[in-house]
Amino acid sequence: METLQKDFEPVDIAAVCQCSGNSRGFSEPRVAGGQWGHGAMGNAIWTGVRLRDLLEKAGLEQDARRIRFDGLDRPVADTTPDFLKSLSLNDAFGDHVLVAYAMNGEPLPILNGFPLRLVVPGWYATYWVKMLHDLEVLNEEDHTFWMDPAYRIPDNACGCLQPGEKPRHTVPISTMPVRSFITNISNGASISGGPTLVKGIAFDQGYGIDQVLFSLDGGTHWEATTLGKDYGDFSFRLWEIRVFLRPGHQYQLQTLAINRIGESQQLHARWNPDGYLRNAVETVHITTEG
Amino acid sequence: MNLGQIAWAGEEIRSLKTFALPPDPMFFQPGPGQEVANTYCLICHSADYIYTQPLHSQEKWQSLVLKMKQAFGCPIPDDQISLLAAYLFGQNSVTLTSSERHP
Ligand code: HEC
Repeated sequence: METLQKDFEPVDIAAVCQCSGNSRGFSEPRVAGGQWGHGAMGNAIWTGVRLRDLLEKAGLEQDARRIRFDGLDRPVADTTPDFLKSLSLNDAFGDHVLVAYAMNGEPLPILNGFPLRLVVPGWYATYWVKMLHDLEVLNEEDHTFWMDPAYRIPDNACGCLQPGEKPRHTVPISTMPVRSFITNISNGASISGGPTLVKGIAFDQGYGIDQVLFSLDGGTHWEATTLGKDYGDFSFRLWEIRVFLRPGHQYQLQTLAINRIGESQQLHARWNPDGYLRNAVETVHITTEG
Repeated sequence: MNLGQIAWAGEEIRSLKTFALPPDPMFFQPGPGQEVANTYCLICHSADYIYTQPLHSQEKWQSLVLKMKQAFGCPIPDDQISLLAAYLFGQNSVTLTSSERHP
C-alpha cells in the first residue's frame, strides 16, 4: 500500500458504479435475477493509481492480450466459480482505469472493497473487482465463468431481443448507456402544488451530459433543465428545474438525458433475458393536493 | 483478519465504524420441500430473493435449481431437485405480507 501511494502518481476521478442489472425489476416481461429498483448504483470520488502505470512498471510480453483481476473473496463452495473478471489490453490501458485505495478521500470502506478495488469509469460495476489482490496477464481470450457465459448481452446494436427470444451470439457487457432520474419526488407521491423545484441526476459512459429535458405530461412537451456543478464526465451530473404545478392534478414527470455525442435515453425500454442495460425514460406519477 | 491491525498509510486504523445489516427475517414458508429450500438455497441467497422472482413454470424452476447446482455448486442432492422445483413453483405465487418483506 505504501509503495502504491508513494511510487505512483495519485489520480482522483468522480465516477458512477452501477450494477449491470440495475432496474431489472422493471423489465417487461419480467426476468429472473435480483429484482432491483433503480438504486443499485452510486457515485463517488475514487483515488488510486492508474492500472496502466502498474502494468508498465511490471512490463508485459509481446503476446499479452488481456488482464484478469481477482479479489481476496473466495467462493462459498469449492464447486462455485471464483469471481474473476478481465479487460482487453486496450481497455486496461485506458486513461481512467484505476486501482483505487480511497473513496471520497478516505480508505475504501470494507463493503466497497477495502483495501483496493478496480475502478473502471463508464463500465458496469461487474468489472470493479473488490479486494483486488491479483493481476494476471493472459495471452488468450478469457472464458472463465463470470466473463462467459455470465454477464453477457446479445451481440447486436441495441443489446436487445424480442421478449422471450434467446440470444444466438453474445458479448461481454461493458459500458453504460445514458440515464437520468428525478431524485426529490417519488413515484406515486401526493405533493402540494404551486411553485415546485424538481431535482435529479444524469450520467453516461463518460462522454458527459449535454442536456437533460423534463416533461410534466408524460413526454408530450419537453423543457430544458439547468445542469449543476460538473464533477467530470464519468460522474452523476445534477440538474434542476422550477415548475408550477396546479392543485388537484395528476402529472407524469419524465426526464430525458442527452450526452455530448448526441446519444439519448430510449423512449421504450429494451428487453434482454438478464434485464441488463436499462436506460429507458422513467415516469414518476404524482398527484397534487387540493 | 483483524482490521484494527492493518496499517493504513503508516497509521493504524483506531476506530471501526459499525453498521446494521438490513433485516432479513425470512425463511421459506411451510410445505413439502421447505426444509430442502432452507438447507440449500439460503447458503447464497435470502429467501426474499427467491420470493420476489417472476412467475416461472415448474420446468423453469427445475432448470434454475439445476443451474444452481451445475453452475454455482449448490450441494443439493439429485433426488431432492424435483421435490424442490415443485415446492418453489407452489411458493412462487405466494403473496407475502409487507411485514415479511424488506422495508
Ligand atoms: C453456491 C451459491 C448458490 C446457491 C447455494 C444457490 N444459488 Fe441461486 N444464484 C447464485 C448466483 C451466483 C446467482 C447469479 C447472480 C448473478 O448473476 O449476479 C444466482 C441466481 C439465482 C436466481 C436468478 C436467476 C439466474 O439465473 O440468475 C435464482 C432464481 C436462484 N439463484 C435461485 C436459487 C435457488 C432456488 C437455490 C436453492 C436450490 C439457489 N439459488 C442456491 C448462487 C447460488
